[in-house]
Amino acid sequence: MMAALANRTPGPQPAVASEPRALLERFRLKSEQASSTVDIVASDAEVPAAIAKYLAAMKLPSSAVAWASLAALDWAGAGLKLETRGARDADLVGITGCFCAVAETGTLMMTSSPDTPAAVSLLPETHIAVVHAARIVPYMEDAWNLARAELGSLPRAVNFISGPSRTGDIEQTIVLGATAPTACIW
Amino acid sequence: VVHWAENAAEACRMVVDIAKQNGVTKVAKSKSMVSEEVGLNDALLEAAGIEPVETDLGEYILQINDAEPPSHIVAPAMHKTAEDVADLFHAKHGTPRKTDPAALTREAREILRAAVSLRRHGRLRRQLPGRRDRLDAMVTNEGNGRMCTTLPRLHVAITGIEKVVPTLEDVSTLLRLLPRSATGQAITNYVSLLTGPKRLEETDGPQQFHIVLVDNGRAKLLGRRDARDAALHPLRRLHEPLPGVPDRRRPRLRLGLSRPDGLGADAVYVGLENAIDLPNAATMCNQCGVVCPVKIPLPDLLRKLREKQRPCTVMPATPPLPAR
Repeated sequence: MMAALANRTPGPQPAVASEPRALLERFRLKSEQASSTVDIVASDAEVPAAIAKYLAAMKLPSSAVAWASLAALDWAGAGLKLETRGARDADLVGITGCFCAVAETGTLMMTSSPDTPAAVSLLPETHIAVVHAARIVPYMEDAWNLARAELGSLPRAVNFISGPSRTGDIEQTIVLGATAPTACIW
Repeated sequence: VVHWAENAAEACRMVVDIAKQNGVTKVAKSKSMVSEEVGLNDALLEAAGIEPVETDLGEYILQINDAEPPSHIVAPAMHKTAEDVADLFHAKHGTPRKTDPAALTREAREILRAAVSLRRHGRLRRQLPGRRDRLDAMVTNEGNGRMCTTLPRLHVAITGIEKVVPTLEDVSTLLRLLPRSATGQAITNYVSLLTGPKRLEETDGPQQFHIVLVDNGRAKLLGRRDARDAALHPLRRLHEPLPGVPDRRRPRLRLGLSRPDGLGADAVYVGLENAIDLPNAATMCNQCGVVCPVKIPLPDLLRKLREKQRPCTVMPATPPLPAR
């Protein structure tokens, strides 16, 4: 039993190329297959303008609830109004970062903490996540190793998000937006 | 807080007690086969007057249709057409009748979101509690599970003891197998791992976190060769929806099973005498055996159960089908 607990060897994994460019491409492909949209920008400074463009194209409001870690960017310069707090039911757009991202499945890993409230990626119908390309790892197992190295122990909640909410419960017709966000862009 | 429930009645009593102690009157539920197994909804309603609300769309459809039992473990309302759901929503919600699945989903979404934010007590299934890291994992596509664990004041997780796995690496492996085998996805849209209640200065998360581990006959099956493989595996219930497995939904409804669950090998749970048709309802084409990601020899198990039926002359006798 103790041997089983000490064994950290991953099980079989699908092949995922580990060069940074390949990781980014796979992450983008898998995200888009899960009905998310992906916009790649050169630096943090370009993020507010890219988000403003997306919100305008989707006819969404130019205000959003966001994680405090994103407050330093020049949102006002892009014409956006940001509130850094926990999300409420009426919020339409939530902007977050992420702990890391998994290329295998195009998945965001969110770790809970006072500064990274889970509700911001959950309640608003549109969730926008800012992902740093350097934080894309090949497999979920790599994400666990990163969490062990950087956080020590796991936080209260780890939420993996792979695209918007969906259901096939009525005649197996896939419908997006069953309970949680209906659009993700990152 | 971790609770150990010897049987179904004890599991229900534990959840009802937690709810009562905290003055809970309404419960938001994520889909849970273990809660079906132990009859939790009835226990909450009848014993304690607590109203459970299913937040999975399929389960919700069945719940508002006078608590109809699920026909499929992944897609519980699979036997319903969009027309059926249109009539049901029209009758129960009092809204104009609509048949478009997207519009119907939207209607349910509004109701369920409002329900979860009002509920004071969330409860849901855990797929794979990791032992070493002391946490629970759950999977959903709709995000209803995240709603249930993020917003309500209390969170009670209920699961079978066979789902406890040693490490996060095992969780990752099973997360690769489970959605692929169940819905053909590489991962479900939402996977949540939870380790405890809300921490200091966090704005969301429950104030209390309870885990109810349900034995209900599982430990006893460990000693039985014929039953062990099928009964005590985290992916046991996923045999049925595998893409290669023949459509089993109508046979199971006809058989009127007490458990809305698995293939014929589940007779080991309810006893052969209570499920005499069950081992005979499979075509034995071995499609399930071929594609099984965890190599459960289901046809062999069914054959053994059939052999067992012979000497004790427990033979199938299907009652006439109810009119649909």
